[in-house]
Amino acid sequence: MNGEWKAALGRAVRDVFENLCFMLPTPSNASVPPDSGTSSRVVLAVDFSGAGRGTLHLTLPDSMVLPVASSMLGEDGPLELSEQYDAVCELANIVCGNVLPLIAGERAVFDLASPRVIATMDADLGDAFDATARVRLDEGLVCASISLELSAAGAA
Amino acid sequence: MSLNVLVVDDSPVMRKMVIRVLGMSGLPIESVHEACQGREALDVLAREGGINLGLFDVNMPILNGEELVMLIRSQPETAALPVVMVSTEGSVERIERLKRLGAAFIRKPFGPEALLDAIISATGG
Repeated sequence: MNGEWKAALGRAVRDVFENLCFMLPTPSNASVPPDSGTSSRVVLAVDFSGAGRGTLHLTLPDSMVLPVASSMLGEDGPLELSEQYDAVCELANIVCGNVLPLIAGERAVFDLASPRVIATMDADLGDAFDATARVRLDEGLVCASISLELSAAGAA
Repeated sequence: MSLNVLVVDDSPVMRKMVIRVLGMSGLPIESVHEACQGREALDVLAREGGINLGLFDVNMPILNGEELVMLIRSQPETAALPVVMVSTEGSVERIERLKRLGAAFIRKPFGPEALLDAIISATGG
């Protein structure tokens, strides 16, 4: 089950970043420098309820926030910090909305809470998730994790 | 026919994105109005004459997108307004409910072509 959820998370992250930000996964044979262990990362959370209850976390390097927001909004100039974080929050919301049907099926109805920023520093969320997927994009490493308890109806 | 569009979303960023994609769709846009939730949308509809297309988010505070469409359909002045619902959450059940309310649906993320198709579906071409 967690393998399927991990695959769903990876697919949702790849699809959303490609369609919304024009950011593509790094080819597996490309030479990519390893992530610095000290790089600051932004952690976004989206709670949801309905056919199941849980939280999706999306983690990305701090350095990706501005490029992501600029791509989403089609703006080349400077953006207010609040607008940058609003944009990545919406990105997390869209990833969550795209992954839940992949996990719970197209008939499952979920209500998504407003996304929120829960950390803007070196983040260690531990391993308290049901599934985690890491997607390496040219712009940096994106990590999506989900904790989800499906209701009886949602699991059917 | 030129479009006078009402974009309703509680996220200013999403409103900006929707308006950007709308501009890329090639449709003749005369005016774009914005509201951050359903109650404000009703006020805009009552105040601004000639709005002939609604692009509504589903999950919003105070009055969500489905409730907004139900109210719009219940009022003679707005009952026939073409509506496209824009949402991240697109379960089959929710889409069927929205179709019964006479609204088209499009799931985020979307590009200009998909938005154009949804608008054509909502307006009947």
